[in-house]
Amino acid sequence: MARIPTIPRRHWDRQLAAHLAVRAGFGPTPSELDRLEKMTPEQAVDAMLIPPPDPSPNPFPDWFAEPEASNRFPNGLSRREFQAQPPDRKQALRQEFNRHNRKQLEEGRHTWLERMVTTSFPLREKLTLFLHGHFATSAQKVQAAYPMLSQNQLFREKAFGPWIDLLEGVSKDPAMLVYLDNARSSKRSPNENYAREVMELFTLGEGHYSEEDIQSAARSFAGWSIDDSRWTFTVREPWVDHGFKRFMGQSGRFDGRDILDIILKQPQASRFLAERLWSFFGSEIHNESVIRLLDRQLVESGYDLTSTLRVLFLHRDFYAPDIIRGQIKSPVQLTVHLARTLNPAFSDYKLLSQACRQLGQLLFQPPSVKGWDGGASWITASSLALRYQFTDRLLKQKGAVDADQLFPDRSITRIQAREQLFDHFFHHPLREQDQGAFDRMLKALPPPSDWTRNDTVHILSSLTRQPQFQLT
Amino acid sequence: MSTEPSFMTRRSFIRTGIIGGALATTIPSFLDQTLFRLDAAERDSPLQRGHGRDAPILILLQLAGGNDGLNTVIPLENDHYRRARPRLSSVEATALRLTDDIGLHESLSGFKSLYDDGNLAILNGVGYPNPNRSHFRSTEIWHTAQPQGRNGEDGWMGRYFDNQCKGMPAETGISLTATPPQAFQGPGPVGITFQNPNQFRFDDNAESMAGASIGDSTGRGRRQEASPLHFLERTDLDARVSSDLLHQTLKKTPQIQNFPRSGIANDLNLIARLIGGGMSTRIYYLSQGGYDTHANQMYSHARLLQELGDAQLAFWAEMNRQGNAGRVRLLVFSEFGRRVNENGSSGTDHGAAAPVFVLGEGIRAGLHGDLPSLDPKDLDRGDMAHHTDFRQVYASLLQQHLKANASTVLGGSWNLLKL
Repeated sequence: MARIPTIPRRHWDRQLAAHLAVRAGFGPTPSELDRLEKMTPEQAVDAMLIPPPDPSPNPFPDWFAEPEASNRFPNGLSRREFQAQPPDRKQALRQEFNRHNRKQLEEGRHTWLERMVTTSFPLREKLTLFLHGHFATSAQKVQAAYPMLSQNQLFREKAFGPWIDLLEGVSKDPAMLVYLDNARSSKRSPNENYAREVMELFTLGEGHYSEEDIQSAARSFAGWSIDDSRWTFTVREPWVDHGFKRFMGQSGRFDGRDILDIILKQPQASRFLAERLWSFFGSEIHNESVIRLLDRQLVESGYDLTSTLRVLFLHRDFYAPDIIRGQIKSPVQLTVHLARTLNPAFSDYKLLSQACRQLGQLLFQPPSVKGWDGGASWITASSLALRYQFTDRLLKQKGAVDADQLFPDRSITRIQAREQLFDHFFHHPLREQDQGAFDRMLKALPPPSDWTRNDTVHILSSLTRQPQFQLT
Repeated sequence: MSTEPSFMTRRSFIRTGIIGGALATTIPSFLDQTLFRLDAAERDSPLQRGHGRDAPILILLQLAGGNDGLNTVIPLENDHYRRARPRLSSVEATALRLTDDIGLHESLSGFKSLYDDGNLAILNGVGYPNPNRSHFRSTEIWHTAQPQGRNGEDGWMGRYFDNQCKGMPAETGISLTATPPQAFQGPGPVGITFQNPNQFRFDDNAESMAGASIGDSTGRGRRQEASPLHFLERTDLDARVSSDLLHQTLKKTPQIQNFPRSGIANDLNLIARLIGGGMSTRIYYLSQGGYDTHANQMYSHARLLQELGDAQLAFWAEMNRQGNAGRVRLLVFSEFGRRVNENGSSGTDHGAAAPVFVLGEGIRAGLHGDLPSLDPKDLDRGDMAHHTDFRQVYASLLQQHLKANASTVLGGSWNLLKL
């Protein structure tokens, strides 16, 4: 393996440890930060990368495990049986079924958000979120809760690779088959939607395949479909095209798996994934040398994400000054980070989910197959206003702000209180030019020993309106 | 209303609003510098500062997902069409006839009536060389007007703002979308994006700490090169000022009666009120999604076109009532048309050339250019070939309507259309 220019042990401090924790997860609590700070960089990275013994305390809602959960049509009917119902009955059944599914989907959002806030293995959830944006699939078209949660579980289980397993899983995933129309693609009239996006958005990027490659891939995926009555993968044999196809300079009687294997042999495939990983975990600022290292690690490890992310998180450039706090928080990052650093026991997941919806990151409903654009596109005039409104609402929730927990020792000075708050919520000190204004605001309040809950909420409200609070 | 009051608003707003409360005692010196620069930039602006009542306005409406142009402006009595679309050509029977060869989809009764009144130009066969069939790349091409460009180019409106609107306030461009359109991306900080005016509020400015560290709000340098913190501080400032203006304008503008209800109608309703209220905005961007009709498109396509046509009819009635129809142009475009042959799922896959629509009073209404040939031997990989470049449409709107220099904005020179 190539030598990685790692972050030197002597540079490791509380701010670097916090940077690792916010990027490889959703943000540290003060005690987690104390722990990571005392480790070596290697130990800290492994603490984020290696699953703890019981990392998933919180499974999906109970209904997810029940057999009828995977019904595609009301009352376990098959497509044909459902279509045969009288129109009035059909409409009534469909309405009730949709209502039920919307409720289940919202429950799914709450459970996933709760998992992000409470998990002891945040990187798995962070990767699951990355994959949700990468293999974007929307419930708006799928119109059902079970396949969306089942896809979410696929991302979680295969999050660390190998990438080919994940790609094959996604290509056979019922939600994806419906979302990109492959479920109805047949030899007689192949549908190109999935074939195009699997190359353009999932593996290679635009410009690295021809229109002929798309047509051949579409023929090869034809017949990969879903069952008529349940949300399960099935191959519709009469729809399969067993003929010869030419694809990326090769020819053969390819099926979908062959297509994926050929794609992953293209040097562009590992390069593309390396770029996506750096852009999600590191920065939108291109860094050729890190991307090359990640690319090489992907190839040498057979697309293993644990070892590839270890390279990323240990790399010196990951800790460069313009990378730290150089990322605009996604709505999920903003809300989950705040919930984790406030009082997680009092998190209101309904409110968190609603905030993500309003701020433009409704889970299970990305805006398009490209996922969320991220970065500066999160911030618009109105989303910034909404971010302030949301943080205020979260702070005002009963139990969210626990002043005793924030300030165990009330005999501190205002300056000490300010420093504690910034360590707790920003994980770094306030910029010097902003200190004056913040201290004047504190000065207008009684000393910390006399702060009421309202005072604390007021301070946190001002703190979360610092533009810097939107950065991570 | 001239744009001057918005500068006054901006100035007084910064002093009293953002730097209000605890911060009022110390106005950072760079904010004064920023205001000074804004004033200087305004004096130097090459553009005749338009009076609010007569400045031209351009509205860009994207039919997102790739509108099936062939089932929007429909060829009549065309064997190639019927053969290519055994199921989907059923819309021909009910089409609203424009000529012997061409009809509009029956759901576009709103367009038909605007066409009959001389307010709608239909431009056939619009596209660009080597069409790209990816939604995202093709959208980028339409937004940047740079088919050869690399990803991440500035938008054509961003370049227009930079060339022709220096020193103008952020709300010169308004986008009613969830994320800023690439068309607005540019070297300058112009352009405000919001979806719902009711949510676009900053309730307690006095608590804001943003004023303490507002950066250079004239935003030198490209957005992507500026630091994220600068970008946030600038957006914070622009948003507060624009939110204030927006709500002042809406407060004095009555609700419009008889507007249909749909996403696109609500957006056009809001734009109509802002125009009526004298907002200094020159460019509006909005988008109607759902046009990516790979499967079972009959019903969904008809519904989208119905919403589109009905919303336009109501919008232009209001523009006429206000007396603003002559200074507004509305361009309806899509990132691409769809494949001539229907697919096996009663839908259509990504295609190339398609019609675009330009609306407004005083336009040269009617059909511009022929429908491209549907003869299989004339198709480009199964798609209609374009005969009009979309940049000709842009250049004509820039030059003839916005009185801007099209070649500075678009680069190169383009044959103007007689719009």
